[in-house]
This record gives sequence, C-alpha cells and structure tokens, in this order.
Amino acid sequence: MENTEAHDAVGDYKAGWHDPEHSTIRFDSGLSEQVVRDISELKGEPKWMTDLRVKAYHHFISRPMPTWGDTEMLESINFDKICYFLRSGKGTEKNWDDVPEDIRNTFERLGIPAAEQKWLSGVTAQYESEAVYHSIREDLEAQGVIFLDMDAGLREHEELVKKWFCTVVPYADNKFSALNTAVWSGGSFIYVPPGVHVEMPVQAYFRINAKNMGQFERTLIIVDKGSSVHYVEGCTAPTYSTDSLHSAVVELIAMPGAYIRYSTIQNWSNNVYNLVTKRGIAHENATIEWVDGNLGSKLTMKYPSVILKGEGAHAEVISVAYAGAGMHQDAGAKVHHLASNTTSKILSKSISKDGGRGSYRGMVTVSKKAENCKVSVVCDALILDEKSRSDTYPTMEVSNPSCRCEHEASVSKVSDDQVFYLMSRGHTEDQALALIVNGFFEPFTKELPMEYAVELNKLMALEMEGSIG
Amino acid sequence: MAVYADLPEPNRAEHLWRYTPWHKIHPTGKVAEIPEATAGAVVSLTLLDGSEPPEGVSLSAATAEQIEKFRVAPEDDVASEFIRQLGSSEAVVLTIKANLRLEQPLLLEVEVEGKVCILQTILDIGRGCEAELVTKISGDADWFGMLREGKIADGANFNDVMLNQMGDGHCLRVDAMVIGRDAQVKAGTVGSGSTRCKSDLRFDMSNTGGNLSVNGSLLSAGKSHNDHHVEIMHEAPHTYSRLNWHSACGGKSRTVGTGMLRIANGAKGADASQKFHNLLLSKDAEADSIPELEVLEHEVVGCGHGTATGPIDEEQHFYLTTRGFSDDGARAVLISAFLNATLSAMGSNTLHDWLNEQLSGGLSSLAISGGALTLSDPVINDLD
Repeated sequence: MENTEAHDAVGDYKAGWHDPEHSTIRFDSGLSEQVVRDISELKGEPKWMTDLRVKAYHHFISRPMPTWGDTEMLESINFDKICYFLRSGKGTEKNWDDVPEDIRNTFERLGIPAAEQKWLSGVTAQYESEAVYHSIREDLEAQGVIFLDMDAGLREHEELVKKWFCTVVPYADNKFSALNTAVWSGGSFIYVPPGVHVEMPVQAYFRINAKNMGQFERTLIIVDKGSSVHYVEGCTAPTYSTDSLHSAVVELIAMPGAYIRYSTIQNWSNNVYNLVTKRGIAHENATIEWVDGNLGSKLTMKYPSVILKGEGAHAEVISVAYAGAGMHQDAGAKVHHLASNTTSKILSKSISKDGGRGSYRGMVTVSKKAENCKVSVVCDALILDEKSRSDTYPTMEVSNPSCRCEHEASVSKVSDDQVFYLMSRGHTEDQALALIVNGFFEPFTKELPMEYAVELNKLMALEMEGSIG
Repeated sequence: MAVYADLPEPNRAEHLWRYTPWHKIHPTGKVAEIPEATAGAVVSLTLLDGSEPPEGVSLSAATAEQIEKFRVAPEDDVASEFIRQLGSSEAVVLTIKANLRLEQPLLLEVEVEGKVCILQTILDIGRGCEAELVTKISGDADWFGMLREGKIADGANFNDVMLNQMGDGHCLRVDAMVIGRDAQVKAGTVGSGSTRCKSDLRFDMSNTGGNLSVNGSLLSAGKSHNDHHVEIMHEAPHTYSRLNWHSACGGKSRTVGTGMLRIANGAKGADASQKFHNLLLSKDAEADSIPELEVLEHEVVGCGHGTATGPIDEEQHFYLTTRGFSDDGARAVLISAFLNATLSAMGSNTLHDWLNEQLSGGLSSLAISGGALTLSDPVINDLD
C-alpha cells in the first residue's frame, strides 16, 4: 500500500478536529463535594448512589498520587482545570436524525452509523459526559439482552446495578477509580441473560470535544451463565494545546460458562491523560478476553485485569501500544489465579518512535489453593529510533507448586535484513517498515473486526512514514 | 555525602524493597536505630588448597583514600549507607596486581559471630589479571551486613563467587562493581545459609566491551526467605551481559528474584538478557520474580528477559524412575541438575569441584562427586 494512500485515508491524527461547543449544561472547572452532589442530582439518582459518589470523592481527595509509573506526568495533571460534567444536546436519541447536526456529523466522520448498519448489534455514542445516541437490535432486546448507556441502566434497572456496581472495582481500589466513582457519567450497561449469544459485536464510541474536558464513563457488563458477548469501544478527541482527562472504570462479570470479549481501540489525541481501571471476574469455566489497542493519548496507564475465581476459567489479554512523540504508553495486564485449573495468556506488543516511551507493566499471581494453573506471558517491543525507549516491568507471584508459569520479553529494533529483503522485492523503505510493523501487530489485528483491522493497518502505515534511520 | 539517618525509609513501590521492606532486614526492625554493639567479621585469605596467596595478592586495611576511590554504591542507597555507618567506614581491601595470573582460586573466608556483625570489602582487581575468588561466609551471627564495592580493571578476567553458609541469622549484602573495558567477569551467588537474606547486586557496565555473566544457584528450605535483586546497567557500547538465576524452593520458604536490566541511550551494540528460573518443591513454597527491563537505545543486538516457575517435570522424573532411581533419588537428581546448570557456569572446574564439595556438607543435600550422586537426606526431607 502506498503511504500517500494511507495518508489520504487517515490524515494527520484524523480525529483531531473539533466542533463548536454547544453545551446545554456545563459545570465550572474544578472538583468539590458540591460538584459531585450536583452531578448526582442532575441525573436524579437514588440516595445510595449519591452517598457512594460522596464517599468516593473523599477517598480521591485524601489518597495521594501513585508513587509508581510516570509520576512526573501524573503530577502535572491539574484537577482544578478540568470540567467534570458537560451535557451536549437534549438527551439520548434512538435515531441519528435526532442527534444535533454537529455531533451527528462528527460521528459520521468517525464512521459509526455506517458501521452500525453493517456489523453491529447495538451502538452507544457518547459525546462529552453523556450518551447522545443509543440503539440495540430488536431481536436481542426480545431475548432479554439489556444494552443501555449507564445512566439509563441505573434508572431502568436499579436493582441489577446496585447488586453489581463497584463489586469488581471498588471505589477505593486506586485514586482514579475513586475519581471515576465520584463523578462518573455515561458508559455502557449490558446484561446478557443465560444462554443468549450476542452474535455481532455491540459498540460504544467515546468522543471528547471540549477543551479541558474530563470524561469519566462507567461500564458494567454482566454476562449470565453460558452466554456470550463481544463489546467494542473506540475513543478519539480533538487536538488542543491544553490537557483533557479520561478516567474510566470498566467492570466485567462472566458467570459460569460465559464468554466476554472486550476490544478497545484507544486513539485519544496527544493532549489526553488516559487513566483507566478495567477488571473482570470470571467464574467457573468462563472466559474473559481483553483485546486492547493503545495508539494515542499523552499518558496511558491501563492494565486490564482478570480475576479467575472459578475453576477452569480462562483469561486472555492481547494488547498493542504505539508510543509516538510526547507519548507514554504505560499499559499491561494483570491476572489473578484464585482457582484450580485456570489458564491465562498475555501477549503484549509495543512500538516506540520519535521519543515515545512504551512500558509493559504486568502482574500474575497464583494463589496457594490454585492447583494446575498455566500462565504464559509474552512481551515484544520494537524501538524505532534513538530517542525512544521501551520498558518491561512484569511481576510474577507463584504460591502453588503445581503451576507452570512462563514469561518472556524481548526488545529489538527492526531487522535490517527484513527491510533489505522487502526492498529487494520492490518496496520502498517506508513501505517495508510499514509491512514489518503491521506484521508485528498481526496477532492483535487478526482478533479485531475486519473494519478495525484495516483502519489500524492504515494508521500504522502512516505513523511509520519516514521512520527508517 | 549522604548519612544514613538523613535518608528516607525506602518505599515498597520500588521493586528492590517490595518483598523485603527495610525494617524487615534491619537488625532491630526499628529503622531509626543504629545498633552500637557491632563486631567486625574475621577474614582470612588463602588459596583454595589452604596455601598462602602469591605475591601480588594482598588483603589489608583500606585507607580513607581507597574507600573514597572505590565508592561505587549509590549515595542514596539505604542499605550500603547503613553498613558504612555501622562499620565506622572501616574496610578491608583485596588487591590483585595487574597482569597477575593465578593458577588456583583465592578463598576469602569470612567468619561472622555476635549480635550484629559487619564487613566492608573493597575489590581492587588489576588490569589484565586472571583470577578467581570465592568468598565463603560462615558463622552464627544474628545479623550480618556486608558491603562489597570494587573495580575490575580493563581487560581483567575475574570470577567472583559468593557462598553463603551462615547459620540461622539474617544477612544483608550489597555489591556494587564497575566492570572495566573488555573485562570479563563472572559473578556467582550460591546460597542456602541464613534464614533471611536480602541481596542487592549492582553492576556498572560503563566501559566499552565489558562482558558480564551473573549466575545464581540457590536452595531455600525450611522457613527461609531469600530475596536477591540484580541490577545491570549497560552504559557503554558493545557491552554484554547474561543473568541466569536458578532457585529451588522447598518447605515454607520464599524466594524472590528481582532484576533491573537497563540499556542507556548510547550503549549501542549492547547484548543483554536475564532469566529467572524457580523450581517449587513443596505446597507451601513461594517464588516471586520481577525481571525489569528498560531499554533507551535502539541499536542493540538484543535485550530480553524471561522467567519460568514450575514443579519438577513429571516426565523427567518418570524417566529416571524407569532407570532405577527411587522417587526421592530421581527428585534429588533433578534438583541437583537444576542448580548445577548455573553452578557449573560460575568458573573453572577447580572452583566447581570445590563448590560441589562444600555443598555436599552444607548448602544442600546434593553433591555430585566423580559423576555419582550422593544425598544427605535431612535437607531433602526439609524441602517437602
């Protein structure tokens, strides 16, 4: 593929435009207990949720910043400059025609309505703090599948939300889970009843448009016995000279025999701090898979986790990260084997370029009672120039002697031999590099829906332009 | 210059201190305290056969200039500053003259007794020399702290093995070595002594062409806690390092291996890898590994790390039992082979044979003597 084609198709951070801001409600910047209470009141939430938000707020305020990771970048976040709630439009629409024109155009440029028609079972499109569009196929609704934005989920299925909310990621888990619990808005709520297989993926798309915006969506997915679902999320933001904050929490519950795949293509602009907590619990013979692509943002700290609670449960995390100029992708995976005969596989790939920094940070624990577990962790990194760096920080804690636990990692540059071979077959240097990089990411892209995979390959081809040297 | 009292207590977020926080290895557990009653270790230097070292090898009290000249450990390192302060900055220096070739290894015996015992050692290994040194720690001190700093000069070929055969006390060890240009160094750690051991081994590869091989062969049994941190910093071009760490872990023991392999920007042509292998031998044993890798240079030959933890391979065990070994015998052979994989890479055959001899009595139940395996059952039983 010609890189000019890729450039035409993708552009320079193609999602970097912004619309004029038409907020119907915008809170002043800064965080206080009153802001937390106001968000809750605005949404008409039950008292238990307001109380939980307030408790989480106080935890967030009292808890120090993490002392690990990119502490320098973390310390540079100015929480007082962030807007914690912004509503655009009147509410969540079921028809794209009813969505305000600017916003509809934005999602059309991002290809969401087209994708919905072709290959999705349902879509939630979130713009700033709340969903502006939501739909689900009628046949799934008839089977009892619930797919709502999180605010609607709380309104319409309060008991279900109350039962599961904060059970996988407690508000006090970390500073940013506390922040999210205090000011969460939007996100997805999914419940799949026993024995229902949602054949086509459901998708959520998160867009930040305003400057200095904080987006704090909350996603809760419960898949009942023997059911399955594939959830896909994408995210973009305009490029501004000031910073925005995205701090989401995702909780997955896979009941016995259930299957959840959660795919993410994170392509925030490089002024967004992306500090996300994602965790799932897998019961007996359940499977949770995180397919996680981190291509944008200023700083990402995200470690999708699985707690293998039931015997025979399986976890899989496949992640790729691209760290370009000014970016630090601190991503990884965590798996906790609490039950016997559980298995996990982690595959992490990263590319650092133009002074970017890619870090894998992972943890695998095997508890004393977990017999015959199997763990495989593989991390590969490519460094494309002398300004960039790559780190690997894996932690393995094994307390059961029957476990087989393996980890391997390697860091290298693109092989001159491979580039030479491809050039001898008629490719230019840039094309050769793009092909090698796409091949490097192939274990990830082949797990994505076709449209995402094609787009990702184009994007990487563009990023690799002029990289040889 | 940093003073221990001014340094903050290390944060457990640092992997160096994650599994053995400072207060757990401090002699009294009260980190603000600096115990008064300290004893110096008794040291003697001979050749491995007991004879006097040849001319050109010396062990003497270090001068203030030498202590300053060989100061390699980071100033903000709590453990090394603590040992310095305990020892009132007194040290012994082991010197090997330039271009000296030793036919047999040197043996530095360190006898540790008393409540709190310390030793600060400087290694001044001359340019182009060829030598092997084994440091054997024995005795029943409640707490022993050892700081070793040194420079292995350009072109030297130096094998340095530490054998810990302490009794039930606690051991804190800090090594900080600078590897000279084109020097070839093998650093080995063999241990089964002390109930709690915290080691921090640092290697500075800031000279072109340095070649380093770090090997560990450790047996943890009973309730022992063995925590080793190995830090290798590739600062110069064309440096090479390999870390192979084998820990067999039985009883209710815990073995920890954390490593930091860093390739600095400018260390072109660096070739580095680290591997931690843990063999879990009992249901209550635990093995933790954090092999960290930081690569800031893209023109590298290769950088990798790996860790593997598991039980004795059932197929290998079955095979040996079909060849006439008893259950325990087959198990012992496999443990021995596992530990021997790194033990045999620590130096010459002479050194290896001597280490095997030592291990038959103390380190483990296992000894390979003339190709035949002999077992002393008590420790093997302790592994269950």
